[in-house]
Amino acid sequence: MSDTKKLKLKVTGERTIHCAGCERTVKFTLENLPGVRDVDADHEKQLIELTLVSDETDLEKVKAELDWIGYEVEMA
Amino acid sequence: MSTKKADRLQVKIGGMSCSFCTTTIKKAVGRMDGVNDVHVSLAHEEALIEYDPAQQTPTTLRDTLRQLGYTVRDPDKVKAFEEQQAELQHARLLLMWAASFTFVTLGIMIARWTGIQQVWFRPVMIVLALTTVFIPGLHILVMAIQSLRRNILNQHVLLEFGAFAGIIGGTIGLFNPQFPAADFFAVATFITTYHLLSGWTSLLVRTRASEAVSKLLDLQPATARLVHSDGHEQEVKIEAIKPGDKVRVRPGEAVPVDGRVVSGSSAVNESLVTGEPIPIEKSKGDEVIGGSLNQTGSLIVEVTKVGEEAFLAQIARQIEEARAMKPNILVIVDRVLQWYVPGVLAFVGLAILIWTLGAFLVTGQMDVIRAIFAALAVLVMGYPCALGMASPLAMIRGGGEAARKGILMRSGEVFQVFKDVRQIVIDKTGTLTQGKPVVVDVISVDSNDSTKVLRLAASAEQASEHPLARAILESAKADDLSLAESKGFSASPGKGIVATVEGLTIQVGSPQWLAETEKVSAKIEEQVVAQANLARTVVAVAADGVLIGLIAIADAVKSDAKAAIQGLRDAGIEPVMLTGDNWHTAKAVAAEVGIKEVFAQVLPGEKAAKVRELQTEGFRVAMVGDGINDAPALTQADVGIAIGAGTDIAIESADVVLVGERLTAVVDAFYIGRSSYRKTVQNLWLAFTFNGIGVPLAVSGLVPPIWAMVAMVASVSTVLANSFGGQLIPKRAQREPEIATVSLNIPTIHCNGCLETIQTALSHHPQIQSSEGDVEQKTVSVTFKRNGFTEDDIHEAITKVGHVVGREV
Repeated sequence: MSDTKKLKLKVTGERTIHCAGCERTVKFTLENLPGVRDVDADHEKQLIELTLVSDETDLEKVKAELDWIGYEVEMA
Repeated sequence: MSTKKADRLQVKIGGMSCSFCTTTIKKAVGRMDGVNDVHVSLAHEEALIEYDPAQQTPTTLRDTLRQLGYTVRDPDKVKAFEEQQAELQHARLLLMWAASFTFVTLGIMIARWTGIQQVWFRPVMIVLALTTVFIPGLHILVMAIQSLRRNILNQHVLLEFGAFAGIIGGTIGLFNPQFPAADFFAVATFITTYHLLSGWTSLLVRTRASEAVSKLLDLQPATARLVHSDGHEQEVKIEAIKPGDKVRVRPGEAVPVDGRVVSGSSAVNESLVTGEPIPIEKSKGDEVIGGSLNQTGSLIVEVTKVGEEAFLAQIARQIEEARAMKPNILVIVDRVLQWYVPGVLAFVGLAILIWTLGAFLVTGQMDVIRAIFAALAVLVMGYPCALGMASPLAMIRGGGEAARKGILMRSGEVFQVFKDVRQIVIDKTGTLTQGKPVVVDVISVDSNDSTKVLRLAASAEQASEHPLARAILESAKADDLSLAESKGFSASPGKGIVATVEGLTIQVGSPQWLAETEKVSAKIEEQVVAQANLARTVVAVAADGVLIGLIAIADAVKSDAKAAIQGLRDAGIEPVMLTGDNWHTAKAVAAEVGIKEVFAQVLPGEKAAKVRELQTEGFRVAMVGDGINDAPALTQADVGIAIGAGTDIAIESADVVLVGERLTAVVDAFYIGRSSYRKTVQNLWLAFTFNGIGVPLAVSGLVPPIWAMVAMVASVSTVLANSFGGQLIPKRAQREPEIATVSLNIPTIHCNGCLETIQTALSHHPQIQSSEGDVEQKTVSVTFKRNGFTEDDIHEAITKVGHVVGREV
């Protein structure tokens, strides 16, 4: 049985989430990954929250995807 | 036709210098009783004669070819190549002699023009002319006489007409001062030398090409390792093998025969035979096909089929058939000569008529002397020296340019047909794809990450020779993973391997095999099916009996395949994919590279038929392939292009060989072929212009033979200049693809961060050179290389990161 897993990530790199548009980008990009749900990006707190509902995507994959669009994150 | 009893004779022919020779042979042999069909290939220096054995024998056919002045060679390929080398050496020797005679003649001529006169000039020129025509030029004379006897007018006949006109004119000049004896003799020397030069040039072009090709070919004779009943093994020629014999096939060797495995097990790569890229596990009882590659283990194979029935023999027969059914190419030189030779003779007749009958009607008196002079002048003028060089020189140029780009042309004629090609049939495995399995995806299960899965699998597989294991190892190496030591390696053929790594028992193998010992969830099975739908082979990895991940392996598309397909389309050639592999894989690959028309599950024997089918629709068809199964189709195609890394048999069947793996070379070959054709046409114009003007003028009887030499020098130098000037591949189609810039309106850009995100995402595409944006205007302008990359790809990259693309600005 695979269980759902919540991830909370903090944006640490030079690139930060500036505005609602950036939030949208992050949300859209991550929700495109299989097994990723309920992505929430917050440009005030520089936090990204998401739920993993299957094994198809793991933290590494999420990190890689964010790296693709220029964000560096770590577990908050 | 089929009811008639017919035998086939296939012979290697030496001494053919251009397509005119092939026409000569076709005509001469075709007229013999009992000969149904004659096919002559200049590129392969081969003739295929279909004849009725009741009326002709191979000996009489061979004798006819020899009488025509050609040599008939041993079909053994190594020997043929050595003979070709010797032929070239011989041609060079003859040319050197003729050239030195010409230089002496030229020296004397110059001396005479500067006013120096010596009594020995004349006799020396006579001797030089006769020597040149009868010693180095003797074989041309033989060929000319043999052709003339059979009413065939070719370039040799044309030359001898000119040379003898020179000798006769010179001889008359010894008694009649109206005829410039020295000039007439000099012309004979000159044109014979030029003819030898032309012959040597075209021979050089072909020998060079075949030298390069023979270097690519593995010239080992075919042998098999026969296992005697007492277990003793012996290397024997393949012809000595009978059905029922047992042969050993070691890892890395090609399977020499069709047969059934009686012991041992191994992964056998049948891609060259069937087009299926992933090796197939063979063990006791399985059939193996001759020509496939044994990779991992040693096999003992019981021979089932030999000789005519064997797979390779069938392919060889199909190649022969394809050669016979290949559409003929009427080379431009032939077309021109068909009119030119009778044209010259007509002018000779006209000159005689004008100065005999014409003069009689006007002045009441025939001017026989002038008639002879005019006729001889027309003949010496009529030999277009540059003609024989027009095509070889364009080829030397095109061939040199092509060679620098890794393209070998085996025959100039075929290369030039490229310009008419509208469809190109492309094999999949090994041509569009790399032809070897590579890891394309690693899917981890539960909390394991994909790096760990790959690292453990690779560590466990270190000792394995299996091609899938090698793909995993290479992928780990490419990712710079440091492998751990593995212990207790054991392999179950066809299933997988077990080894201990870092204290864990690692199993790597087929999902079915792992499912025997471990419960695989429905979800994982779904994954396996999904991967299989993408035409991938899935390998499962388990640690201590628990599944930790899946590794998807596939035959990846070559990095330049998409660009090559686009390039071909830009050049006006429609690509068609032809493969022995299944529809599933075929469609996946076609979609990836952008090919619309696909034929899959085509049996080896059907490929040539498919090409023939396209040809009957009126297209000139090119074919690109690498495998044994492609060989007949390569022969059948108007332009057969073999990948140099492919099989010998494919290379031998092709007209063009690509030395590297680069597929875009096909596009280059097209442009070079087209330009080199254009050069040939220009050269022919130049070659004929001077003679074409000279011949009608000579009818007047006022053109001294010295003008023939002036025309020669002028035409040869302009042809030379034209051949080596200019650019062969248009700038637009050269390696540097066109750079384009597109400006897009992206309404979803809110801030600098959004813009940066888009720019970062775009920067991952190697084709995109730069991007600039304006937050206020909400626009991004992208500069990119247009090699298979389009605006649509940019749209996709932007929408992938959640932005919306508006109109173009």
